[in-house]
Amino acid sequence: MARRRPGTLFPLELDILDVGTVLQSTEGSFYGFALAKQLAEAGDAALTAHGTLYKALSRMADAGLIEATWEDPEVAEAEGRPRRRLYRITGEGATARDREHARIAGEQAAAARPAGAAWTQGAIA
Amino acid sequence: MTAIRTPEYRAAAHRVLNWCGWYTRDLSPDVAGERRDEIASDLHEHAVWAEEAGVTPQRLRRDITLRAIRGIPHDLSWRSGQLRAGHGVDPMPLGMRRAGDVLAALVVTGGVLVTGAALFLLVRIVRALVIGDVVEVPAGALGVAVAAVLGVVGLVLSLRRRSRWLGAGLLAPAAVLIGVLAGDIMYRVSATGVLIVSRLSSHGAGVEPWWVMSVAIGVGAALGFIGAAVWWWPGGRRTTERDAATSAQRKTA
Repeated sequence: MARRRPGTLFPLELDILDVGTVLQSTEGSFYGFALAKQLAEAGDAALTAHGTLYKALSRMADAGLIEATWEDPEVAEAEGRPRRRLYRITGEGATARDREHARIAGEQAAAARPAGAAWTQGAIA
Repeated sequence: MTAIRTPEYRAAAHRVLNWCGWYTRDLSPDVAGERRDEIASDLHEHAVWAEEAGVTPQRLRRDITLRAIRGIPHDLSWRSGQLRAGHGVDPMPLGMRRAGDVLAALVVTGGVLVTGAALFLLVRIVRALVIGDVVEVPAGALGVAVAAVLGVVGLVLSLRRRSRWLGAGLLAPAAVLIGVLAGDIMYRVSATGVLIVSRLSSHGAGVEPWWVMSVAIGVGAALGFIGAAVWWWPGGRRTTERDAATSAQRKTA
């Protein structure tokens, strides 16, 4: 299994925070399959595997990045389906998401800089 | 017919929930139940979405199965994490549980070797009789047959947690029989056996060293099997606690 660098998020965790933010803004919360569906549509990929998705959600909940509550059973029963586990991104999760985006942008800028500098030196020479 | 009622979906969902039941075994009822409920909800939502998207039942079954298969490594590591975090119902420390798992793997491996040797010897005896290498059933053939039966039954029983003690117990005499008889039988029915035994033989009076070594291996394996049988003895603390945990989990299911 991949190991997380301190202070960073796994790509899937960042995707969950990104997609979850969108779902949360419209629905108030999000649940596993809705997340899998949106992740698949956003990445034009297959639905995230059960184990991968729910392990990530479990880990993120333990880390305080998201909070989980079970849906009211009466609501689920009225709609004739199993109850959903609803997730919401916490303030800590939103901070981690923003920090990760900033870190990635910084890394991309740093990666681009030497190439640009080399090109500039070559042009001057 | 809605997607949820199709046999394809039901079969796929059944398999996924069975798998979920397997990898959540021995976890606390709360943790296991939450995981099961979440997977059940996911499967339902998947089927509803598939129906709305016009996905065929066959494709839905394939998609669900692939999602489950791709997630297996994460399911297992999640399970390990839960056990490490103390969310198991089994009060046995993780180190002891791992020792039990290693012991089970050793017993099954030993059982395969003993049973395989017994079956191989049986096949060689039958072959030698059929092609006329020997004119009568060699002495010890009955012992090999008994070892093969004990080996097969013991191996099957050792694969199931509740009957492991009995399986290991049956493998012990099978190992001794093979240790005592293997060299002699091979000498009688195999040209290669004759060569090997002749080379190892001291050609002197008394007990041959190769036979002593063969018996020592058989007895050593038997002692290992007996030790495993004692470890898993049903009256022991470990099994009692495990059974209590399993029944507690079932009650909440």
